[in-house]
Amino acid sequence: MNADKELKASGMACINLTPNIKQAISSMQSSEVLKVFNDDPAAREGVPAWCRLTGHSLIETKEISQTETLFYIQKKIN
Amino acid sequence: MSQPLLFHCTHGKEEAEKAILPFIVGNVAVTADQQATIFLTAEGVRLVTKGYAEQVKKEGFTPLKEIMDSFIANGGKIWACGACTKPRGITDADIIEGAKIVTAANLVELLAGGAISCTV
Repeated sequence: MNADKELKASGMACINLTPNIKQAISSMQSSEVLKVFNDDPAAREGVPAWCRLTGHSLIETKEISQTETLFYIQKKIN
Repeated sequence: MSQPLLFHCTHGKEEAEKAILPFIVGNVAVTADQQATIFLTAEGVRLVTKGYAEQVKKEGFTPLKEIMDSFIANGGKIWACGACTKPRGITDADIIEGAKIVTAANLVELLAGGAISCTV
């Protein structure tokens, strides 16, 4: 899947992952896709919750190992 | 956006983890487009005095100052309980921009208006 921007969020967890996603997506245009790489398994619960709260669309989740995940988040239309 | 969220914080640097945690959750809330207020009581009121947050650190956690700055920048409110600031000699002149000293009536108003309170 193509993405307009990437966020390498290795080592980020509950404390700072979604705040960093928020920061990354804030400078993007509506409907653009942000690709997020993260290695915290709990993010598989947290990132979907953040998307439900904010209205951005989690269009794909790829579990690439036991802990590593790629999230593709499409920015909502304002 | 749903109901406002209220996070209660009662600790200062003597219990850094307990001081930082409400700000972590509060910061996640505001960066998820939620309204959030952190209500400081007891030793927690010292967190918003100038130069204090810089001293609150715990291994494995982002320093409090960094989280607090993000929380404020994303629209979070920090209220310090007036009943707790007064005996500690803390006045408006002592606290950082983005925080304010309030009364119990402000807290009651927020809760009566539907805010959800959480202790972390």
